[in-house]
Amino acid sequence: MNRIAQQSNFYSKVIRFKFIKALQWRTEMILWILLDIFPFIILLFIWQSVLSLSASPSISLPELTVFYYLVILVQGFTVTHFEEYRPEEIRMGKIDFFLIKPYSFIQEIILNDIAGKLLYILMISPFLALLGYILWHLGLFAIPALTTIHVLVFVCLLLLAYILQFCLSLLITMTAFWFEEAQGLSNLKILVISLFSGTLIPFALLPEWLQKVTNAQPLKFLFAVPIRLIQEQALPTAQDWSMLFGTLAFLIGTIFLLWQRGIQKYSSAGG
Amino acid sequence: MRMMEYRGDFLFWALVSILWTGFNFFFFSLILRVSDTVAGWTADEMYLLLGTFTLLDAFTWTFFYQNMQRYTRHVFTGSLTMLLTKPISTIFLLTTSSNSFNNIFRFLIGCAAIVISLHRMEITPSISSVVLYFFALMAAALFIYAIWFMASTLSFWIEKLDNINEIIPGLRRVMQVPRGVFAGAASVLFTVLLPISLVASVPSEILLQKAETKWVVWLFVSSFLSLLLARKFFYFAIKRYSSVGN
Amino acid sequence: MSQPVITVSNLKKHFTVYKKQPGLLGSIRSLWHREYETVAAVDDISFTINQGEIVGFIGQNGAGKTTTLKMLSGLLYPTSGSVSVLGYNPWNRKSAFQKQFSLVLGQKNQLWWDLPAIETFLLNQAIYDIPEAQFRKTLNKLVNLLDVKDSIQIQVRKLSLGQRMKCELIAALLHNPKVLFLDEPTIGLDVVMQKTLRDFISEYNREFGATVILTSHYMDDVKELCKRVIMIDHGKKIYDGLLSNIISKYARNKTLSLVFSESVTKKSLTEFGTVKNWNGSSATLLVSRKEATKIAARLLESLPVQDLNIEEAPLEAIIREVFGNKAKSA
Repeated sequence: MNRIAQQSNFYSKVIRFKFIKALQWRTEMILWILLDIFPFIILLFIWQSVLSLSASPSISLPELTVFYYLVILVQGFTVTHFEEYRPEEIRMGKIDFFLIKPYSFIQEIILNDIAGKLLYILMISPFLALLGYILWHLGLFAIPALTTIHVLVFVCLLLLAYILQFCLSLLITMTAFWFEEAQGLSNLKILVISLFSGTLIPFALLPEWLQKVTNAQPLKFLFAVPIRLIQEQALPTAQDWSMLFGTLAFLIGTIFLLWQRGIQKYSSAGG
Repeated sequence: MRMMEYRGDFLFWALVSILWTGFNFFFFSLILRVSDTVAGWTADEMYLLLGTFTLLDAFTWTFFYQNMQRYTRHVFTGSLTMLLTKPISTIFLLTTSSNSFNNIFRFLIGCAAIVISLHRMEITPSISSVVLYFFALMAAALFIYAIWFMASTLSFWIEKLDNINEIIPGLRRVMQVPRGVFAGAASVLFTVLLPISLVASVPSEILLQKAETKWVVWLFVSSFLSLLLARKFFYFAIKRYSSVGN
Repeated sequence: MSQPVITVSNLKKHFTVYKKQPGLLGSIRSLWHREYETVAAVDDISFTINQGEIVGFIGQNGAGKTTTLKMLSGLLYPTSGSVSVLGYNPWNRKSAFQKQFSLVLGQKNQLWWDLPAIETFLLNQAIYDIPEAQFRKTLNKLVNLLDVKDSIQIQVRKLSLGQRMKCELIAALLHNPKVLFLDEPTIGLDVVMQKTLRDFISEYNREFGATVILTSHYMDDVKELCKRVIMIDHGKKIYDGLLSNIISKYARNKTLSLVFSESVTKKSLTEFGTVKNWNGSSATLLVSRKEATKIAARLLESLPVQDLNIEEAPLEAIIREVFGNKAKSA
């Protein structure tokens, strides 16, 4: 019991430190939030002009608005991009101090990201609230009635989507022990996720082949599944849950293996 | 040429930029499935517009991105003073010192999209249209340069903002669609006050022979005006910079 | 009775270095054919260090000093041989071991760049699990000793190199490590700051009985802090003993500084030794160590010497010569 108390004390202290560090970037964060919301608004203009000229639109503007709003929300709450700079730390030999202190590089990445994510969620929430209010006022918001179960499952899915994003970023980071272009993989990751996680347009509007592909692989849990839960009240099936947890288990196992091998190589070659 | 030497590097990033370009076209194809037109533009016309945008984007990414990044970094770290002592016109030095050739493939894709679309629509633009098209593209590029430069010059008044260089790229969605998408106040903003919606739209309209004279003129005029403004703004900023005793 | 704290036996570290031809063709060729070269950075080194000792590692760049320190910290895995520090095998990286030692790399910072040093200290407190009272006491003591009270609240990137190094040292000592590895801690600092840090390290060693290994290019660091030195050259240990003995073992020459009451020609001095300086009324002669006293006596007899000084060759020169000799005989 004492160990748990000691560990949680340790984690809370480190997260507090990381949070203070993240606050240094608050202006950048606000700009990122604005840079995410702006294209969303433009997209609404585009869709409005598309739908107004369409004879029998297969979807309404409010439904589209809610969809893209949820994309921003899910993105803000779950996306990770530390694989854009962590690989360089490995390649430049900057992880030395993590190898000689009782504080591992993996712990550092996890705690740093959690603290940064907490701050980001704190900062984006007022923007999302304001945006939602304005859209609702303009009659562009159409959220269906949701039960408590739906909300709880949604929160659960958000947490798991975050873990999944985190694992993907960490996996890419691990490749830095062997590849120079680990950071380039970040670009590919964003591309693949954009294509296959159901973030482009509402699921129902996707061409059939893409619907099939999206359903068949775990990236759907990043956006499609949580968003469909809200918009279509579609709860994940048992198959979905097993795919999700299976994927997470596989990723975590692979990361662990790569980390062991990577550190072995790093410590033999000298960083 | 240094970029060419890291051959694997070059090919990798070329691949990435090709994929992103294709992805963009794919995204609009999804929208066009819902309705066959976007603000009255057919699919082929849209792809031509996207092709034009891709040309512009490849150009600005090659020649502007890294340089603007460098510019803002000079301002933030205070090393601008070193450049100010050099005889070459400061603006020129700041913004053309490095280029990146990875975007050649995007440029080619843009051209291909334009040619294929014209072919499918059985349009053969006249020589004068093509010439005007290129001039319009140049005006568009200069306009983007000017507003990017002005956005970067804001760094003189800020202590630190690492993603300041992402502001103009963040406006890309506006450049990818016909100007007719915007109505009312948005139209005034994006076609008159800050005419970013004209940069790909107007040149494309020229090729498609549906350009309106006033918008063509406005593109050229605003491009010229914005360059003047950028220059004035820069010297204003420099004056302030040196007086603060850097 | 001093206990051995660090034991190193037959330590070897070989690096495989890939050779690549320059240019585009070279890059293409290297895709299917790679040439290797094995570099013996540390080549069979053994030594023992007892508790409380301050030992200096001397050697040229690339001699293997930093590599050895990295292996002692567990940062690098050796090719063969064994290491024991405080009874632990460093590369098992047990946290119980890591909480008892510190590594300071003069060329790499552990302080977080964009934050005040105090924040790194607080982070270290969490990492090393230092109780609050002890942390405050140690922090105050260190801050006062190094006189950085005003610096720790300022962002590290705004500090001067000297202040940064001081804070770097504090960060390394907050958990009262029993073993301290210092790799070029005074590099780039001005003479005054070097002295301040040296005094501090000496004081720390006196008060806490910490065992210290120090590598440095600055002879003053070694002279003032280390009674014992280990000389490493091309990965091999070529000397392990008292610093004072280096002089008697390796110094070949002594310097005679002379002041004359009457003008003396340069020619008249050449029979006694190598003339380094001469301006008529004073001169400096380089003579063999063994003959120094005899030559001095002869000079006093035959020349109008007003003042005579016999000096050891500077330590730096001796060591440089030692390495120079090794290079020649290699």
